[in-house]
Amino acid sequence: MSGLWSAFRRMISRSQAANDADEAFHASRLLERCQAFRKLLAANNQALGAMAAIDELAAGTEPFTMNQVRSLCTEVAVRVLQMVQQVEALAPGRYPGLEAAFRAIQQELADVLRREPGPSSEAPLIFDLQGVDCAMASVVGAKSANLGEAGRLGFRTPPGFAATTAAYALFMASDGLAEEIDRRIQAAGAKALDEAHALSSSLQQLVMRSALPESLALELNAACARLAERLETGEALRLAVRSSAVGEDGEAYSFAGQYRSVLNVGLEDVAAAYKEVIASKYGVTAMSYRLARGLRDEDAPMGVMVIHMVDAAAGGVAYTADPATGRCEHVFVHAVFGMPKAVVDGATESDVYRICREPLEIAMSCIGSKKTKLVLARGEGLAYEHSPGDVAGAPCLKPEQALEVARAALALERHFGAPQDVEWAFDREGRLFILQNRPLRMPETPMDYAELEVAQSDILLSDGVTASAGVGVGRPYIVRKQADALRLPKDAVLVVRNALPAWASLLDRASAVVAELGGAAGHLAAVAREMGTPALFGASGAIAALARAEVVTVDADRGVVLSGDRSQLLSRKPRSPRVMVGAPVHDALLRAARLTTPLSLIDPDSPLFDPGYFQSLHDVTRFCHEKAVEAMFAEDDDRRFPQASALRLSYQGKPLQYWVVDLGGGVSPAAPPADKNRSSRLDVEMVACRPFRALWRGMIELPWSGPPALDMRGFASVVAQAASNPDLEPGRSSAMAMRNYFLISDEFMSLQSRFGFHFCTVEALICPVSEENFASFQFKGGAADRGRRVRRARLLADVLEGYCFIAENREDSVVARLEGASVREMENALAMLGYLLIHTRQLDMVMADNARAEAEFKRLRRDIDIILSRNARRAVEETSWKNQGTAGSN
Amino acid sequence: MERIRLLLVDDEEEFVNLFVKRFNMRNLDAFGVTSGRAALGYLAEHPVDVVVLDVKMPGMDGLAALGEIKKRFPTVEVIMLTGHGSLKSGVEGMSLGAFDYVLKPFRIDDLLDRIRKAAERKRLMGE
Repeated sequence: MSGLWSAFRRMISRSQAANDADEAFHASRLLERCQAFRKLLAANNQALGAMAAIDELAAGTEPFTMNQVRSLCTEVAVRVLQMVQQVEALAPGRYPGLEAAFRAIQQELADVLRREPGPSSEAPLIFDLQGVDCAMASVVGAKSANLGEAGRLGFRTPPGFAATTAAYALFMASDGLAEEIDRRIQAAGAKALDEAHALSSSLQQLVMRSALPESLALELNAACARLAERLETGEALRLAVRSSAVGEDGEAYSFAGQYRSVLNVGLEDVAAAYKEVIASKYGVTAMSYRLARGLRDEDAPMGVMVIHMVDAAAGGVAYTADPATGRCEHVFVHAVFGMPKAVVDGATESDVYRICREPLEIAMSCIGSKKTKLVLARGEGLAYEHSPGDVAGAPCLKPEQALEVARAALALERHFGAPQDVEWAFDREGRLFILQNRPLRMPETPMDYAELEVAQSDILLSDGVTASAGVGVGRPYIVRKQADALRLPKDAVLVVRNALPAWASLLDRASAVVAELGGAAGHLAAVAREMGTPALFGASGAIAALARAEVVTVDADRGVVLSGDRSQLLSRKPRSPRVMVGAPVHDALLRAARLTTPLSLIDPDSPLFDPGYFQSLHDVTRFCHEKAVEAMFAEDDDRRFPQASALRLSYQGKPLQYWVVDLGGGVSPAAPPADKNRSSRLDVEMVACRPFRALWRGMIELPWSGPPALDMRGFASVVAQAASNPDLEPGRSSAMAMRNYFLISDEFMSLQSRFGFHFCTVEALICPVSEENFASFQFKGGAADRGRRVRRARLLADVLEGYCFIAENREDSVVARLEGASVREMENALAMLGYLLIHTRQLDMVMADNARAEAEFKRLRRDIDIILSRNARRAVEETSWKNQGTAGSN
Repeated sequence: MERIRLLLVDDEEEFVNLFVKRFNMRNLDAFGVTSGRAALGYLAEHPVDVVVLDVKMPGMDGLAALGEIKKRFPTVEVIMLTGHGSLKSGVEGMSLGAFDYVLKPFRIDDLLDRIRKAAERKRLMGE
């Protein structure tokens, strides 16, 4: 800003030196007005930038959080309020309904962004599972509700109780725990995984350190005592304390393996285990999962299920359909010795039974090598136990047991009306227990097994099972420990030994996952299916086979990994590109976007161009910009200070659609003095502003040569058409909106340009001190459809980056900046911007596809190179003239 | 050019200490306090160009402090620091006369840029 301010300083000091009080007063008024105008422009650009970011998120292709939505909406609202305030400063009292209209939209926006009220802490804290059914999912969480329902249907389920979301609300409200969590999340703003680890650790410790409210602690103890009494176990009662969050185990979101289960807990440790489960809501994987799936913190209040711990002789999961293909002919039973957790953790091989539905019989059984099993540890928790070779290879179920599991799973499917994912266990007495049941997530379209022609030598791996269908291409990256995970490159193929749930947080960065162990029944597989990440598990030897491979293609559908990039397979089954669509966060964003980004005020001459017709904050910015330009540049009768009047530029006797306000030193002393006459003209040649002259040179250097073709009559025609013909743009605009305005001093220039629907500002300072020099360029909008506008913006950003600008491109907006360059470099940069202003004005109309964009990119680069080489030649000539002059004077 | 005199107000002492140190290293004359009341007390006794004020503080919150600062020291420019979900406080802060607002977490150079603009404005308005 220093250019503007130094110009003002000079102007004011001149006035003071001349001892002209009137002129000094007007100079300071002009300072205030310009300051307000500059602030409005800056706010306008910031608001438009945030709107572009909202549009980008609305596409739904990238994960985002509710905090991001709130931040962007706050940014838009605050910037728009700044614009409203500056319009008031420029034209006091002229638009009385403006702020109220803004406030009305802002209030609606605040309503959209308001946090959902949490569960009531007034409801009962504990329910016995015998009294729970699936209608109570919002009170006890889905896991407790489903298990309670299964128990009521007559299935054998472990007795237990559900700590409700009211208990959770009570805990979170105690000692401001929820507020502190919220504060830490906001302060961290963690996106990078390494930061997420630090945040997660801090939040989990916070929860663990917080004391349970007394009433909750008492009720937990009482419920445990009742359970011990009922089971007649006394102090020996062992419990499983499991998450049962609202929304968990739902059809849309499984949260598979993302929250903690604390198993084999003694009575005295239930309270700590309860807190551990609550704390797991802030585990890295759970937070990443919510981020990737667009869930707000308040979307997942945490119920907790406490059930009697079944000492399992064998256990596992059953699927009543094939989750990878969506086919329903068979039931799949995955089984291991000991606790079923080993199956879902993907830590060991399992036996897999494929069972026909009708008649119910085993079609195929595949007995895995179950070298380890999970058993109840002596003290607390589970322990891995080695199984000797002959045991490891033996089936862990008798055929009738496998059928019993399948029969139970099918009965649950019939009751719940959808394919089921059932966790089960046989206890030491051979009794089947249902431990958990939830809807099985199915692929949207059944898999197509078209033949694929590949050479045998191109197949790097072929014995994996499809854990999540699809095709992914990328460079293999082997992750052995968490530290490796931090460095996982985006879109790499993640290669791991075990399909552990902990790797779920990497799924949105990986193009595919390959695991040596684990199968379709694990938690990681469930999350991969949800997120549409192709996954191939049980691919033995994967690490060795892929360690030295370059790019590979994981065809999870066929269970193969191929060398090289077989992207053609991607078109057969693309990953879902809009992962956020339908998520609560995305819905909230769309509701907020409706109040922020659509532009309905298009015609400033229409009677509807009025605060009474605002529909969005974009309308407010449009209105404010229009009125600010009017107030800043309109030649009104009150203006007694000639320097503050806008002068219309002319070139070769022709008036242009360019107006300038001289802040001091921007006009040659040889120019005729400005007066109050509305027809004041200033020939372009009389402008002494250095950035303006450089920009102008770029604007006129080359004639417009690309489509849409214009009637060309040499350079004057180009400029005249580009700058004076409203018909060139299809949008309707007022006379004010069609004008382009320059604030100029000798070293500073600020250009406002709005032709029809696109909006552009260029600001620059060129002075001998390189460190102070800058040029900034902001551009948004256009008249063409979104695709073409976006292509033009991307093209502009690419071109600018090619010439040392730092450019940021979002949707149809570009913000670019160059700083600290020498005078010569700055003049080149301005010439380039001048060229782009003229030659990209209607480019959006022809940017039909990427090929066209590429051709235009080349053309622009070629033209700019011509301009720069001409500039260089002129510089040499000037230096030569100067030298000759110096030599002559000597 | 004179060093910008900055007052940083945030209830988190660690944050204040860290950023006061970092701003001083960036050639600002920075001082920190941990409450709105302490800020008013400091302003009564020391010349300050720019106040960076956290919205969410116990006791006198940032918005109340902003109102008081603008009432008692109208020429001091105030930049509000707000958390993510603070549409209301962002808008209210600007209505109460804040120069700008910055979302937490922020990049120090972004905040510095706004502090410089605020200081420049204050000095120009004073001239």
